[in-house]
Amino acid sequence: MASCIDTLIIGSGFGGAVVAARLVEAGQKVTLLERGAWRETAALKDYPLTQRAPLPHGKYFASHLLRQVSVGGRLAQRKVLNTNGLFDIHYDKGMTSICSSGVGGGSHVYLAMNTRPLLANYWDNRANGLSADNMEAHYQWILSRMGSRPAQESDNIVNLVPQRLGHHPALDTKIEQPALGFRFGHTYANNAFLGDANGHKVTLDSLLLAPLLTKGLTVYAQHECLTIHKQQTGYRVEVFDHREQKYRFLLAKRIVIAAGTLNSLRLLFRSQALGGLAHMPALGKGFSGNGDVFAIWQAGTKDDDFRTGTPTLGRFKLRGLPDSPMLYALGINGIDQIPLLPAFLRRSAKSWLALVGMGNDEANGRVTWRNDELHIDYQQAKNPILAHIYHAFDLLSQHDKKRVWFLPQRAITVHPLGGARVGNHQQDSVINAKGQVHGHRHLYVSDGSALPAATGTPPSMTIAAWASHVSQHILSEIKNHEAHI
Amino acid sequence: MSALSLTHTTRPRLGHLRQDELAELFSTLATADINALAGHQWHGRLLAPFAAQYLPRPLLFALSALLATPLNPWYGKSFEHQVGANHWFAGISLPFGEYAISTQNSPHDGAPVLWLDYNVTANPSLLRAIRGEVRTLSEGVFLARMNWQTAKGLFCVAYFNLQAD
Repeated sequence: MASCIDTLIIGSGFGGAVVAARLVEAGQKVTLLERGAWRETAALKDYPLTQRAPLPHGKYFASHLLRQVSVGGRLAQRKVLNTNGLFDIHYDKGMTSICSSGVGGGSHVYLAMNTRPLLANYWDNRANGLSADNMEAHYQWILSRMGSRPAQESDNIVNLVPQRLGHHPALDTKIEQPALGFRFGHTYANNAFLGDANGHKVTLDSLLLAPLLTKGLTVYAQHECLTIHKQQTGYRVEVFDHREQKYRFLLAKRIVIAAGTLNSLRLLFRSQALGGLAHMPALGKGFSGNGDVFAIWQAGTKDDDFRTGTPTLGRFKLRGLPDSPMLYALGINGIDQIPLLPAFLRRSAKSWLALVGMGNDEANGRVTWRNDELHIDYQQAKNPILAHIYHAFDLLSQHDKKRVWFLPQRAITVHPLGGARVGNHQQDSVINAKGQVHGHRHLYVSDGSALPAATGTPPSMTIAAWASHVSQHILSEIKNHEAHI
Repeated sequence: MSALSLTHTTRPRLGHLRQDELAELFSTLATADINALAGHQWHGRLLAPFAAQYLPRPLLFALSALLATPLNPWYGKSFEHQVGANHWFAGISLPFGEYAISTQNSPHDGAPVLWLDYNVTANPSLLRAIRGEVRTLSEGVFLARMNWQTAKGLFCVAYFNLQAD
């Protein structure tokens, strides 16, 4: 009989890496599957890792930018372009989602903002035994591990929002600036959404995973989990090893699903459709795009250069707009890594800021499974935060006399959340307050798909806090089990 | 592997799998329960025959699909509690190739299997070297391994699955 893995974690982003770290640091042996490769960054240079993939910088830009493109709905299909590519794009009529792959997951491409949800009571009344108070310790744990703090004047960072945009009459920059998971004091370039090869952005591969490889953590990179089947004891997991181009089959006593919202939903839907997991009536309910809206704004003059700085330069609100949404600004940081870009475009891009609006949408989207692919039904009209952010961008345009470009017809998110959300009852939730899939004591969900609502801010710390919370329940289950034998 | 490699992002179909992959899958399964099999005739599909294991995956799948057509005269198996037989030709279901059934540990991985021993007097001598192992893939679906017993040991010849018509 194949040996049975005690705890198998699927995915290595904020949901998976945190559970792995918490369990291994508590003395458990953990196996982690990640469909992407270890990335080639300076932060990992001292670890003996094989087959690292470069970030899509310079000559690797075209070949390593995209991993997979998928389309939902009637035309459902999915095409893998390069298993070492960084981004997945899922196009759907309701919403287009972008996510990343690689050991460390979204930590490579996020903007290093380590924030809590907009609402202080985000976790209250979601499920029995869950509250903002008891989640606080988990936020503190991850913020401490990330070394998070806001940028300070002594860091000598140019282009921070309070300094560069503080004079703008339409903008309120005197708001709390986000803490950053960033190693300050080095260079401040090429560190944003295309990944930071210099290793200054704190990523989970170097912070949590690689240091634990000699302490009980086994990472199978480029192993994509395809289905989960409940067996008499434990679970059988079907995996494709992209490195060896072969299928593998593993047995696990306990599984933690943390493949990123869309991939976790794919895994759950496919396993359900094939009879591997029992019917989950609420699977796909409560999907949110976190109110993401993207824009570009020619904020500076031709003498300004916003390309250097931290991954995000900070956030601001609009004066005169009641309940202004939080708008996050970043320079077109990383543009120097795109080869063959016309010089005029490179010149003009340096004075532009990319803006990301975020807010609490209603988390009323619905993901379904059709033709072996996800289909996202998300209606902008039923999520007024999007119109509010569009209005904010329009107002900014009017005040500034410079156009803010965005796409109001199309919902795009880099923060898909929900679909396997936490709750008390099987009819409206997939997992309970401990992170266990209803009816499955040893199957957990610890990533963004578990979140009960939009966070309205970058959700990485909330996902990490949830994962930390789930890991404590896993440890408690293990302890109880050991006490019984 | 990178750029233009063949990629698989949906569930594996059994016909796609090579012998070493089927062996790994087989080793994760629990033994078949004779009570679930007995009293029925089961339709079989031959998978990954020994000679085809080095074929490129699309050709392997094509061969597996071909073997599932009536061009392959083997139809499947029937089970009673202690004996069973192979059935040939879909229309007439001719029984040929009997076996004794027991439960024992697999010589390959040491875990329990339903053991099919063709070394019975009713069989011609050529068939008596066959040993089968059956495990449960999912409810009502079984995965089996066909071995050939030689003086040097037991060699896997092919896998097949069994399910109701």
